[in-house]
Amino acid sequence: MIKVKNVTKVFNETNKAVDNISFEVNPGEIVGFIGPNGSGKTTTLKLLTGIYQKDSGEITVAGYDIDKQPLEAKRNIGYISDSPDMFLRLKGIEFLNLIADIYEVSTTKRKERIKELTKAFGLEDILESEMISYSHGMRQKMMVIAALIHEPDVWILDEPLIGLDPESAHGLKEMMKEHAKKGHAVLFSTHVLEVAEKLCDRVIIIKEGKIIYQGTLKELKKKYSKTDLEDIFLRMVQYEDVR
Amino acid sequence: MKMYAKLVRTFLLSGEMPKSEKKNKVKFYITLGIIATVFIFIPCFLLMAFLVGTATVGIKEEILSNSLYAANIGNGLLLVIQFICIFSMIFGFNIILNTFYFSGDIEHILPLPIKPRILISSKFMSVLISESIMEFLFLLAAFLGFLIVTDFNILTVIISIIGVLTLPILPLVYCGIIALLIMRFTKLIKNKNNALTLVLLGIVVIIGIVAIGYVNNDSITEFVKMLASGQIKFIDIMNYVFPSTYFLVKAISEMSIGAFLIYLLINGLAYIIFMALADKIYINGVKRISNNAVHQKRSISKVLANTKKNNYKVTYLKKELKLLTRTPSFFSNCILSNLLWPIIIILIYLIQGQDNVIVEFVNHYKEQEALGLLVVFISVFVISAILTTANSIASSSISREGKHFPFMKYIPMDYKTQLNIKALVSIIISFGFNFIYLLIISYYLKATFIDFMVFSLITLLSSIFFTYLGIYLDTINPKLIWEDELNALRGNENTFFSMAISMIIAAVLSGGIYYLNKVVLIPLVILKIVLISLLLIGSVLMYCKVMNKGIKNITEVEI
Repeated sequence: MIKVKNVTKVFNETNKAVDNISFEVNPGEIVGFIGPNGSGKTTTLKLLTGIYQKDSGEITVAGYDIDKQPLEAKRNIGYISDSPDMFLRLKGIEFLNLIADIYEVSTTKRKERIKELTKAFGLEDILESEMISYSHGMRQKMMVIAALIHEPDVWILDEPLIGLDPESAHGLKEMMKEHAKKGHAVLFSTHVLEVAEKLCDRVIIIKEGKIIYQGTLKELKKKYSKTDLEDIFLRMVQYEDVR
Repeated sequence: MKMYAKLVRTFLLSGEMPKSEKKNKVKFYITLGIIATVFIFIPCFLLMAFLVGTATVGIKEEILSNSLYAANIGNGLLLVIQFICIFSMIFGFNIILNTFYFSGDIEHILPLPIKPRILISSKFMSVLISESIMEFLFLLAAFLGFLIVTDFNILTVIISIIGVLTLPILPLVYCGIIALLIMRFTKLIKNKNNALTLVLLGIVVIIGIVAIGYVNNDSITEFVKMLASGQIKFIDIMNYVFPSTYFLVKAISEMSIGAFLIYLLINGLAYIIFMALADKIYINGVKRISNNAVHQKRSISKVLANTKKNNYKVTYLKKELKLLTRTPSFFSNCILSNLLWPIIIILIYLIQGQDNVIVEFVNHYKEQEALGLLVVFISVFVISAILTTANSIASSSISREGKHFPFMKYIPMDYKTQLNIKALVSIIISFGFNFIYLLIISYYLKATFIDFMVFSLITLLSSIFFTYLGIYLDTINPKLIWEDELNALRGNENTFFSMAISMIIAAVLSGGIYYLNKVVLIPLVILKIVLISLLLIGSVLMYCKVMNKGIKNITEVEI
């Protein structure tokens, strides 16, 4: 559902944030995107959603080329950005209706989705308040609801669990599993290795803009003859040669 | 002291507009800067110096011929700097309030071991420096105009330089003290709601009324006579409000070291009181904001009862309008600022007294005399052009997105639609205000229906042209990194350049129309058709520019 082929992104003509990466996320898969700060995770996700323009390579999402058919590709994406402070002067319900209208969600469907998702995240009673009065966690939950309201095939989530309380984090993880079970795809970035271990079918590890590993965690543990994922990760990002 | 200097530098940097990394864009901005300097700054500077100089010469002659009190020679300068102080308060209050209480850095800085007075004084200094650059220029011009026509010496020059640099302190200290007291002891401003704007509007209205009420309804000559004899009530009142202005002018006009020392003492005392107050009540004021989050609870079934699918373009337009009207900084700068025009016109009208040029042109127009028809026609165009760019709605339409600019990029909505909706917001508000003023003016002038329609068309086309111009400028290098919403507009070069260009275009076209009508004797009807055609062609060209180059610019912006 997501195909990335030889993609490169250079900032300021010198800084290669993403360096010739290729990977795929198949239907029914949850893929974790892991890497240290500044490794190129967010840049890659922003390239997938059309926020950044790639310098070379090809990206297709749900069968649509992000450059040639950007609107079709974007309609199939549910994206959670790294900052939840968006349109804080809008009321919760106004924000959700804005997103639902942009993605052309029918009245019946949106009512159903808003009811279901706000219940799952405990935000049912405060939709009439401006989002500026929400806590950071509540705003993050709102972003999750907004990203999922149109039931997109492909979920692209940048650190989606940050700021969520344990109950909501658990709820989102279950939703991710459900979504994959239905034959859709989930790609999310995280720093929490335990989450990746419990949730992901595969992981992609990125360092200095280059992918240094992609595959299952089981294979990874086998490769390094270790069971502790943290040890493996630290070893990889510290010593693995990216050239 | 080191901490203080570091904080001032940090606050100044965070308010700055990031420079584009592309050489051609940097060149473009430099060119615009040069044009603005040549056509706006220098003429304004010279005009201010000329006004003060001429007034002072007039006062000097009055004093000599009528043996009046010699120290009144500085009254022209005094009046000007008192007006500058008033404007400094009007514009400074919102900035001080935002910087002290609502900037994004507060929650990161407060936990640090920094004394409240160091924090406040560094924030105060950053506002003083960043906000007073234009003020310094106007003050410098006013003092220069005064010194040139009086017997200046090294002492008066030194006092003037110190005066130019320190005069903005007292108005900003007042703003700071008012902000501290409001935030600590009242519930007027919670969570940056619109009460903030109401306070600002209140100050503008009060000062407007005071100014209008005390400007005497006499001719310019009479006015100069009154300045010479020291009979302007407005100055008397302002001498109490801003005593520093009185002592500074006294120090310069009488070469009095004593008056200068009192001037310094007043500023010093005001600053010390402000700092002492900040030390006591600033932190508590900040805490009151963070405790103000109140959720309006309503059951989901009731909320969803009104939920239905709408056209996405209409919803996007509503989103833009809601953000503009609900965000106090945007509301006051982009919407309320449109209300300043009638106040300015009434002020000009009242200042001119019996030799009133406005009344003269109105009478000319009512009698259908050529000059009256020409001047009203030109004025309608000039006001609509400057109003559209001065409210900065178009020129900040991308900048206002700030950190959530990527939203424009990842939603399935093309840039063309998004930019056109943003343009529509600016056109609705700018043309809306213009049209209301036009209705009032047309009624007052007893304009013919055809004239009214022509004026409406000029106003509409002017709003469209300058809207797309503003949007185009903002696509080149939008100011997307800001700590609080006011920062999206403050120091935004796109807004400034948009206004400068509109002033230049208005001046060139008005001058051209005047010349063609009065010298080349081309009938006004033809000139009206020419202007409408020019605005129409300009609007189409500007629209195409935004839809092509503007969209390309947006695509290239990455944060």
